Amino acid sequence: MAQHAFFFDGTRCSGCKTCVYACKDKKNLKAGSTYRHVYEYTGGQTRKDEQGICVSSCFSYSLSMACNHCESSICVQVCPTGAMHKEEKYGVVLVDESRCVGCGYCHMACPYNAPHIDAISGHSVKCDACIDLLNKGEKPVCVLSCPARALKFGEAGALQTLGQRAAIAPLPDPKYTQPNLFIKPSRDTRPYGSQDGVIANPQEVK
Amino acid sequence: MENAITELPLALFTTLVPIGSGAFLALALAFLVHPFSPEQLKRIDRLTLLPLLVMALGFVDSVFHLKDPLHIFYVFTGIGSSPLSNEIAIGVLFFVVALIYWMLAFGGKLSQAVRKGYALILGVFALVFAVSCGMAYMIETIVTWNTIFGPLEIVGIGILGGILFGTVILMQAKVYDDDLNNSYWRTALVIASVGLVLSAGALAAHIAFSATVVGTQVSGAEITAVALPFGALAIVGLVASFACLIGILTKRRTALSITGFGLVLIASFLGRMVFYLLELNVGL
Repeated sequence: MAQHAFFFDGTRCSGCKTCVYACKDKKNLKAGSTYRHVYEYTGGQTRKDEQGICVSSCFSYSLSMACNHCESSICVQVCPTGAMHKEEKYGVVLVDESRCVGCGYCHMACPYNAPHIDAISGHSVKCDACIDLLNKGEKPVCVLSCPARALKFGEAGALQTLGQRAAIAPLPDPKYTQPNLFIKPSRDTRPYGSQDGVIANPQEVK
Repeated sequence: MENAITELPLALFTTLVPIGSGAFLALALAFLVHPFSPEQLKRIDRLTLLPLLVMALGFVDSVFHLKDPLHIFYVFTGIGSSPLSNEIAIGVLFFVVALIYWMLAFGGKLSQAVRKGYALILGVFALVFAVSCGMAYMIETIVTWNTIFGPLEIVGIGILGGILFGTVILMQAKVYDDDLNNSYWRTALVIASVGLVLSAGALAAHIAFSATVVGTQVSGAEITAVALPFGALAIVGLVASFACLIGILTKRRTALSITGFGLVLIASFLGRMVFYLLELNVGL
């Protein structure tokens, strides 16, 4: 198996969310359901200094992210039925719906908010890295649709030379699950654990 | 609050099942310290069905937390790797072993010596099961759950609630006479006090610890503020149920047994709701 990964270029992303909607379209997802999220992380303040001049420390950046198909996938570890599993060809984490009981442990455990329980099917649902497209030699639809070419998908060994492993805010310390997401940070990017900002679109990324 | 409401069936499961299985602690103690007549044993055995029914209710209730229960038998494929599978497997095994005990006892097939040994094994097994229930929630990424407090809370509930439940059974079976009381009450009270310290102490420590956790979106202090009033009520309820047990055992107040048992059920359930309120992931 050659473990595959996503790469996100924070210097290119404009936060347009085309990736989110391409995914929704490809997966035929209903309103309120997305496998990919774009987090808007913002912070800082604008104030007048002693001379009455406006000084701003405001910052904002976007982070596009779906399932990170982690090396140490906590969702796979906690799944009681083996429904959540890592396939062998690309190292993509998949859900076997014929085994899933919909207990929601994967959803609770994932620090990247990836798996969700679909209310209608009663099963866990998440990004499968468009494995059908991968098998045809193509890329996931989020990667194909990005107008700024901020997303890549490929072998983790190659992508890790382009950026660091998911160590920016608002993400957690990558030590927990070793996510296969490599990031080239934008100038404003804060490191993981930073309390400088907040997720400005919490409803959108729920 | 949303977490706690979503996990309501699990809160009920982790209340009923440890208390139902914990009742065998009290029964084992009674069999070890006091010789019962065959008639008395028959009455106890008839009521021993109650803990099994409480456990069965907990298991049935837990199914409501699954969105697709038809695949439930796959849960056993995760034994050894998934803590949730381990918990369910140990629970089912306990239930089967306890059911066999009850059938043998009710059918008059257990000698005094075998009964003592079997009940003692069930009492210890109940504690193992309670630990496995708590460990099912020790998930590395849920930092407020990945502590020893969760297993201690459930073990405490099982011990305190189990002693109360078992004592209720002995009293309702009308076997709780002076002889039994003299040899039973001190040890029962000591064991129950350990249960109180574990259940109430671990809950208080859990809330205090959670308040110090810093999350990416929500702080531990925020969720603790919501959980604290319920936690305080749960601790008061647990202490009150223990006070009832003191009354039952020292003053022989039979009427208090139902009150004490009701209190421990409600307080334990509240404590479990607090546990689910305290869920805080290290990530998003």
